[in-house]
Amino acid sequence: MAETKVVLPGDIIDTSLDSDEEESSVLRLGPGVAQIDEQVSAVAAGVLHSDNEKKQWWVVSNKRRYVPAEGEPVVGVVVARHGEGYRVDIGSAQGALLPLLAFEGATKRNKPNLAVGTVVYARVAVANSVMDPEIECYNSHTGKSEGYGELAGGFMFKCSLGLARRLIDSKAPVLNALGSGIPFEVAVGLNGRVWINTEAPATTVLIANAIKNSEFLDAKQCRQMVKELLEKQ
Amino acid sequence: MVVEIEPSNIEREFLLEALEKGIRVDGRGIYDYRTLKITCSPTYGLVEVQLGQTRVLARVTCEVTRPFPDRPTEGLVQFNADLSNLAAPGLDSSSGKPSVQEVAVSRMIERVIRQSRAIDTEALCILAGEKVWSVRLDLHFLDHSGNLIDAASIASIAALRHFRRPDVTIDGEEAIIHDVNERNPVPLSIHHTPICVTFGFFGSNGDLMLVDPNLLEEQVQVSSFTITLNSHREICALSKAGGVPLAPSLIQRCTQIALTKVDDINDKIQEALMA
Amino acid sequence: MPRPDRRENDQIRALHSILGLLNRVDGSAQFSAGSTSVYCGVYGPVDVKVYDEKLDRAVIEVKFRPAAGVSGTKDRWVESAVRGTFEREILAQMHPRTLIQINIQAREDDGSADAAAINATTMALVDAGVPLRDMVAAASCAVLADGAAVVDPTLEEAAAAQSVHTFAFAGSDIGRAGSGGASGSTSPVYVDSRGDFSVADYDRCYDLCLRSAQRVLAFMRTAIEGKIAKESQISVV
Repeated sequence: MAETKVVLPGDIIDTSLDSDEEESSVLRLGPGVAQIDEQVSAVAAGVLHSDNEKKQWWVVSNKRRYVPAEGEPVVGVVVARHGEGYRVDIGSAQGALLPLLAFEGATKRNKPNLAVGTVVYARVAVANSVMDPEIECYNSHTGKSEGYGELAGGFMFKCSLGLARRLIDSKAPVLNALGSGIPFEVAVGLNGRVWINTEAPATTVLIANAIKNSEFLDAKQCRQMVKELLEKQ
Repeated sequence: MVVEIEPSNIEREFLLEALEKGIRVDGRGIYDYRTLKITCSPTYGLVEVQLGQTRVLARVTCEVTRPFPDRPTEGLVQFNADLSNLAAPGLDSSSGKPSVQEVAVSRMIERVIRQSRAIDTEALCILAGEKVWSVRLDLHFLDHSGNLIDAASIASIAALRHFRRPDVTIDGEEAIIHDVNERNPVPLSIHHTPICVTFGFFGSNGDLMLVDPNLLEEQVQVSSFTITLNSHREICALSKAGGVPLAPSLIQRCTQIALTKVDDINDKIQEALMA
Repeated sequence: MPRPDRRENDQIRALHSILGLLNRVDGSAQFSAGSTSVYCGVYGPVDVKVYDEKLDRAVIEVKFRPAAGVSGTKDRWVESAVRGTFEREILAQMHPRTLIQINIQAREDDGSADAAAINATTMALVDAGVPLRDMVAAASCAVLADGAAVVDPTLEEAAAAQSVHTFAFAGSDIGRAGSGGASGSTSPVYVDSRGDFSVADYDRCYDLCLRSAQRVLAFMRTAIEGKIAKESQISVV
């Protein structure tokens, strides 16, 4: 990994390579970086990351509005049912299409029947700028649900995309600290939505608020905050 | 267009399940208001109120105008509420007509302040039949996270109390309006300060009740009730428009709770004006 | 002639901003210069009505509401000014068939409100993560009755002026001009000039506004970098 620094839109990024490579190598520009005319510049404000080996450049920034990307897990709410599938709100510009059979073991005779308002945990199957996104409630390569599907009970709340990315990491401090004191289930959508389920409503509310409060805390502060919350119980 | 999404089944069901145990999703008690922050700008008449994440800006201005012919000794009070897409998705109509919610809040504030005669309109008279002050209250909603009415009533009253109009001297048939840099501007004459307290009701009979609904609670509630009280413990207005019918004893209980809340809120307004 | 608030002719008022203060929109900012203060809230990219949508780019919509009174034709002018400026700077091709909606609410207008609106919009778009080709910084200048050109005029100064000019520049153009390029060669992304003025007046205002825009850009950079630095200090483990 190379250096990291804060960039703003319009800042030109120096993509000259250190070693004597050919001028015609391919550069991979990730989120927040684009080629404008002859230059490579940042198009979002955030921390610039680069990988000189893979010649990749990208900007990490925190946002609230989700732009779907293939393979990402999302938490969605069914808003309509059409002939071929459900329309699911995942917080992106267009609602996502969830085919009727995109569930583990679903056949024409035996498929789930989701009501409007149902919450699902799904995987983004198709996402590009010209089509409406498509999601599926199973891993279409293995045919297994792998945790995707309808989410029943519990509570769902929204958070920033940056917090969602941190939560999905298995080492996320706030979830680990909470988990060592309280049993709970959690599903994190990279679209900025989190679902949690515990035995009692009071506990669910405690966990939801702890997660929301952890947005601006670092690992040590998270652990401290959770410790204080658990002691008050 | 940007649209508002309805709450999911899980959110609705959890909210009710928790409320049955007296728990609210943001951790508040059922009689608790969210954190109230009132900021009075250095400019007279400009006040910003934050109630939880709901944010509203109130602005009072005035100008000299002719009175209505049938009320020659009374000044005018005008209201305007702006509830746009800035505050929440789906509020702008393409035709430019105000949305249902905008009209509802605007009418409520107008009722609460104008019809309860909170402002002394006779004190706004300069020269009977010729010149009176016209006071204008503009409300701009910046962030809609539930309970716009209570936030708007607090902002309106604070802005009206914060406002200063130019001083006037009457010399026989002439009125001299002093520039604010020459003579200190004077406050409006306010008879009383009405404050709205809104309750949300849940459950099939509306028997679960809470104060100051946040956005999710407002979307799920089956009935809503606003009572407007002033610091003299008088009821200025009661409003229950539609929704599940409520027992009179419930209304009585709400009134008692509202009395304590209004005292707290008036104290906070006083503190903010002094700062 | 000293200015009423004792500023130098080339001195802008104290700048202040808050990023991400609103909860329902995707990105927001409050931008103030002295007592002129403007809020901006941005949604995007979001869904757009089928008959409004563009197949190859995002539609940009701007709504502006004044500080007091009902909105009128003057405000439509500010809307079209902001839309024209940002239609070029927003990389709308990255989000076809969507809408980017910019909502501006003036809080207080003590002169140069259109420049404040443009600056608030830049910061709100950055806060929302809408892809931008460049930052945009704006400043106003008035030519007074005695011929003096003053930057960031107050309402009082603008009302008594012979002409008032607002310029907005793209960030990289400002940077290039600052490092010694010929100042006349930097084209603004937005210009609005009104009143009686000569070409010399225009040129003077252009120079003053370009230098003021530099300061505004530096201010915006510091504010945004500060917020990002704070957010990125949060470590994963």
